Amino acid sequence: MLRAFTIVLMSTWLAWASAGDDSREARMWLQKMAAAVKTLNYEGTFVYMHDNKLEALRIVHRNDGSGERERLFSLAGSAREILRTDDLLTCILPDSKSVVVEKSRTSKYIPLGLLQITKDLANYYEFELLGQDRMAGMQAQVIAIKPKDAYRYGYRLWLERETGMLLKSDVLNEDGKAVEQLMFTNLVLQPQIPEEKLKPATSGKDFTWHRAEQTAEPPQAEAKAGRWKVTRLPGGFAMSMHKEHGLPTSRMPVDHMVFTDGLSSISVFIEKRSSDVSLPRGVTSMGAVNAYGTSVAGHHVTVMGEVPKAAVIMIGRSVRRKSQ
Amino acid sequence: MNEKIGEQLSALIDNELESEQEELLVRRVLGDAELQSRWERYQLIRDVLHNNLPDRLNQDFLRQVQARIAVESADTTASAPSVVAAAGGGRAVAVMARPIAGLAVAASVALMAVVGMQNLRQEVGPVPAAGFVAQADPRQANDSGMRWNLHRPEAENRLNTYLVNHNEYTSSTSLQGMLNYSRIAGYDTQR
Repeated sequence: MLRAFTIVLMSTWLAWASAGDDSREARMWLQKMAAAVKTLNYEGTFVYMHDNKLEALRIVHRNDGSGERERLFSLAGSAREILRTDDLLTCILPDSKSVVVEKSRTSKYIPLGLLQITKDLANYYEFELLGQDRMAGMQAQVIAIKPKDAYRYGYRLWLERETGMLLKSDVLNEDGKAVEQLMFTNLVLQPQIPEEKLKPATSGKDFTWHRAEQTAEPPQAEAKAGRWKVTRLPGGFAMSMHKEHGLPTSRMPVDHMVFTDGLSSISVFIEKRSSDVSLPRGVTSMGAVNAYGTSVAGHHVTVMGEVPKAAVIMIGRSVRRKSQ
Repeated sequence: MNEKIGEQLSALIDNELESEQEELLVRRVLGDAELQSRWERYQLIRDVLHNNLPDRLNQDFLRQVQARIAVESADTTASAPSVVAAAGGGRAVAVMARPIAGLAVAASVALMAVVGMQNLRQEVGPVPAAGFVAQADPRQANDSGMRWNLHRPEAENRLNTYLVNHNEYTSSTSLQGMLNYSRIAGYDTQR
């Protein structure tokens, strides 16, 4: 029994090792990163660059015995804020003088992908150590995630050497150009974070408050069977979720399927065509997100994800109605 | 000195800097309102040169530049480091007429922001073109949503709603989480 177990264990190790020691180490760094972002205390300023825009944001994150708390606020334009606790999410939006309060789903956090890096992921991505660099005043390990085909993006990550905390990330398209970049310009790790730092700048006193409890929850049917099928998927992508939504902006229910390769995700939304909204056809994009719209059997299909256009096009063109 | 900064800004926009240089420059830009304005103008100029703007904007270009300059010089109340002076800003938001129904908030950092930000962004109205502020005229604002590279606010709104749901159910990795969060949270509806 023990012998069999040992053999299985050995095979697993060999399988990982055969993917390259570098690759294995890179994947371990990524697991470290996922844990760091969630469990450390930190506060810092970061910029987010996309579509030639530069956004500056500040984040305060605390995770101690009393639970995970976070505050994110914009440093330019209006003082938008997002506050998160284990129970609630609060968004303060001065532009529209609104506050949105929603339930938090932290307790159901089941990390996939980077936290459960399996050998399968190595079939579609190469993981490489790219050496050391300095970022936000700290020593960083640079990791590359290179896609093995044209259906997914690549990433370049700078991780703080001690904690694995994310310092910078580039999302790279098919041409190796960064379509999105996130970069901390200053970051303090593991400080004491007093309560005041987690309080919003605006009380939202004279704002309109929208609470989740006040809204009617439409029935969320877990449509496992489904009336639609996707006949072509890029390698390594499998369905991870299928739900029917009542979207606030649509009278019709929307069928929503999610496919993932463990790192990237693609959604397929299908709704009956109606005259009140005409959805875009063909490819549209925003930063690293590409979307593809098309018509199938009187329904509008929208495929969307942080993947190159080729992937959303492939899927969009392969959506079919199931024959009864 | 001015020349040098100009070159560096251009290089930054074209993604041509080494990370250390990039970081230094970004920090400088963040701390300097004037540099930020230049950044915005460089972006726009680049877009015009590469023909990335919708035709209508090309025609309005000069007028908007002039209006922008007027706003910047008149605005004394912009908070630093304000990238864009606030003005106009689309339709008045009477209420969130449609309930934010059934959007369970996902666990990871990013998704949280998406729900609130994206939904309400639909109500506030589409975004003025890169770097320029729609001057108080909602009709003009309606025509130039640049978030998705579409120019139809209705379609954009639906795409944004989809994006909310996409992020909610998919950003289970902290990497995607951070990116999504920033993608939405950093978005200024007045830009």
